[in-house]
Formats: sequence, C-alpha cells, structure tokens
Amino acid sequence: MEHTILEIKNLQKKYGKKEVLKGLNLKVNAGQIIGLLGPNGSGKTTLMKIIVGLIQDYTGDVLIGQYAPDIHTKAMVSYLPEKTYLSNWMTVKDTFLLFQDFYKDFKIEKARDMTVSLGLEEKQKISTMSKGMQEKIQLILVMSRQAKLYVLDEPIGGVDPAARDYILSTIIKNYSSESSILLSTHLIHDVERIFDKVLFLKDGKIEIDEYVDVLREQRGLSIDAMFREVYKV
Amino acid sequence: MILHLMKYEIKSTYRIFLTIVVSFILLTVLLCIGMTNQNTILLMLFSLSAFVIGCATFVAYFVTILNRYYKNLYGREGYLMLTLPVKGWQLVCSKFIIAMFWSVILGITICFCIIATLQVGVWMAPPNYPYTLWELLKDFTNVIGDSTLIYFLIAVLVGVAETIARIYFVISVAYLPIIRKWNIVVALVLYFAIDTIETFFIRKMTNVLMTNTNVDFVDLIVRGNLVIGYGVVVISIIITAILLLCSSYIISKKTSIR
Repeated sequence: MEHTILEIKNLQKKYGKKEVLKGLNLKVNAGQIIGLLGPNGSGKTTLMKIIVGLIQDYTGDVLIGQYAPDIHTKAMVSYLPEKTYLSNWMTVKDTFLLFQDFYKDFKIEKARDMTVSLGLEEKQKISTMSKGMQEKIQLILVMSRQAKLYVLDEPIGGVDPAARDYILSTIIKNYSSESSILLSTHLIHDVERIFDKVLFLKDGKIEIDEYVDVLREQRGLSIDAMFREVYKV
Repeated sequence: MILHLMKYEIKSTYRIFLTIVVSFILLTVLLCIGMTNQNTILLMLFSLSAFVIGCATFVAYFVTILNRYYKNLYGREGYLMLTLPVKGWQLVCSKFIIAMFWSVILGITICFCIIATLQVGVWMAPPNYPYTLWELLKDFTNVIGDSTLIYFLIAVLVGVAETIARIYFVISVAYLPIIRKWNIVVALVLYFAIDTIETFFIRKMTNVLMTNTNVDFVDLIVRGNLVIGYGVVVISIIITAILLLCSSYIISKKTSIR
C-alpha cells in the first residue's frame, strides 16, 4: 500500500494582487525522488516555503504526515533553501553541533564523512567560505538528517560540476522506501537521471504529474527536451 | 529546546557585548587619566572622547538587540531559525532573556565604572576633603532612602525589558505579510504610538491616585511613598508580557519570510 507523505489540496497563494498558486493539488508518496520543474516565477520556491512552514498566509490544505506545517512537520522535513542561511561567526563544526542540538535525526558522523569527501574542513569559518562552499555545507547538513521529506530548492545550482555528481549520488543514497525527496532545479539535464517522477508547474497549477519512465515512453523525449517544449517562449 | 536556543544566542552575541563592556571600561580608564592630569585641555579632550565612546557603545547595544531579532528571524538566517522544530515563544523568549542578561551585565559595568570614576575623584580631592567614597555612597543612600534605590533599580530593569519587548513587537508587526512597503516607517510609528498611549494612561492613572490619596510628587520620589511608582512598574511588566505574547503569536502563526 502506498504511504502518502505530503498531500496538498486546492492550495492558493497571492503576493498582493498577483496569484502565484491557483488551486494546486499534489500528492507525494514515500520512496520517490520528485523533480519540481517550472520557469522562473512559476511558484516552485513559494510552494516549497509553504511546505516547510516559512509562508503561512495561504489558503487550502497542506498535510505532511497528518499535520499541517508546524513544529511536528519541521522535525520531519529537511529543507535546503536557495539562500545561504548560516551565521558568519560559525565554523562548520558549529553548524553540525547546532543541527545535532535541534534535530534528533541528524547523523553527525555522516556529515563529517561528507565534509571530508567534499574537501571541506570542520574548523573553517563560514565567513571565509565562498557561496558555493556554504551551499555544500548546507547540503551536507540537510542530507545528514534521516528525514521523512527532503525539500531541496536548487541544490546544485551554485556548486561546481565536479561536486554535482557527488551531491546527486548522495541524494540517491538517501533514497529509502520511508522518505521522499522534492527537488527543484533548472539544471534538468544534469539531474533528470535521478528523478522517479516530475511535476511541471504552469500558471500556478501542476500541468504534468507523471513518472519519468512513462513520460519518456509516451513522448519520446528527455525531461530536459520536454521542459523546453512545454515552456517554449 | 529553549536552552539550546539561548546557548546559540549567547554564542552569537558575546563578541559584540564583550566589546561594549570592554569599551566602557576603557572609557572609564580614559576619564580617570584625564582627572588625574591637571591639564584642563587634556581633561576636556578625554571627557569628550569618553562621551563619544559612551554614545557609540549605547548605539551598538541597541543596534545589536534590534539586529538579533530582525536579521536572525526576518533576514536570510530566518530560513534556518524558522524551520527549526521549536515554538514561536521559544524563539522570542530566548532572544529576550539573553538581551536582558546582557543589559544587566552592561548595567553592572556602568555602575562599576561610575564608582571607579568617583573613587578617582575622591583621591584627587584636596587633602582636607573629609569624606571617603564609602561615606559619600552611604550619605547618598541615606538621602534618597534604600527603598527608593531598590525601586529605581527595578524600574530601570523593567523599563529596559519593556523597550526590548516593544522593539520585538514592532518588528514582528512591521514584517507581517499584509505590510508590503514602508516596513521601517511602520515599525517606528508603531513604537512611538505604543509609547504615547502608555504614557497617556500612566499619567491619567497617576493623576487619579495622587488626587485620591493626597500623595504629591515629592512624597513619591523623596519620602519613599512608592505605591504609585510600583503601580507603574506593574503596568510595565503587564505590557511587556503582552508584547512578548503578541510577538510569539505572530512568529508562530502569521510570519511569512520574504
């Protein structure tokens, strides 16, 4: 039986008069890596912020497990925003200790292994790191949790191509039948091989919600090519 | 969880607050050097430097308290803080408690600096000056009374607490999703609006009590009749609690990060 991790019904969100999400419906089952795709301004980041509880002024139903976004869901969801959020006074080690203090599912040994693999140092201060290095640290923090739902907003956008393969393999390693990954990206060509399903956002709604294999078979196109076709200007 | 939050709040703020404390001590040393020197121009120069450093450290103190709330919750760090599995009141109260902690430390430092400056003043007094510092302080407390001194300390502490709570509240309101522009103006207007309303009610209440109990202002301050004074303190404590509750509610239920 399929276990639903995330269920969204008739989700609407406006910024002033501009309606970004217009009655969006979505169901995410456990054990899937889902690509959330759409052009700039299509509402991907807004949708993710609603799921993780950073936006609260929306209408509709959002359920993670059996809860609306709150303190319970924050313990279940591991979120990587597109912005860097670590304080400059911290070292890498400080960030690990912070996650260990607040998240029961954080595995510090896993974080340390990933730090070494990505050529970073625990003693290094955040203020001395480039944006790409900070993004790697945030990804390490997020992927070192054993969360139910991973919400990753452009996880490889700011990192070098060499690190992308490592990050993608890390994401695949985290795959389990108990958890799901919702990932937004514009680098579709680099990432599409790891997707089980893709969601195409258009005009504030889900235009396509389908398994990748089915789409490829039906249309005879890669996801990257399909994206270009759907969002052709 | 609130203890963890407090721990990270201290880790985030100790550098700046220790710098402020050290600045005050240096300022005192500067002033004392100026006092021991008989050169008037040098004394004026040291006094001016001390005044400038004093003002700068107070500005740094308020900016730090404001920034710890605004940047940590509504800036890019908010992406982390607002996705931690903690309740809104825990976020607000941890910041409030640590801000109060540093305010007390700063207050003790200032008292220490004033006493040190007075001591140097006594040392530099003419040889026939009859008082020691201890005697001066004793006379001072005798004149104003122990109970007034205690009231004064409590009133200052509560006043600082209310100011911090008000800063948190106005930032929380100014960054509600419905307020899309002029956030800083909204925060400033709201801050002074709360201040005006509170002052109005306290003045009304004081007038009514003074009229009905035949207590005048001299009674209130000098003779230690502090019923009205403590009444004002209680009102400030209630307002502080309400402001913190409202800020916690906004963080928990209404905040949307931009």
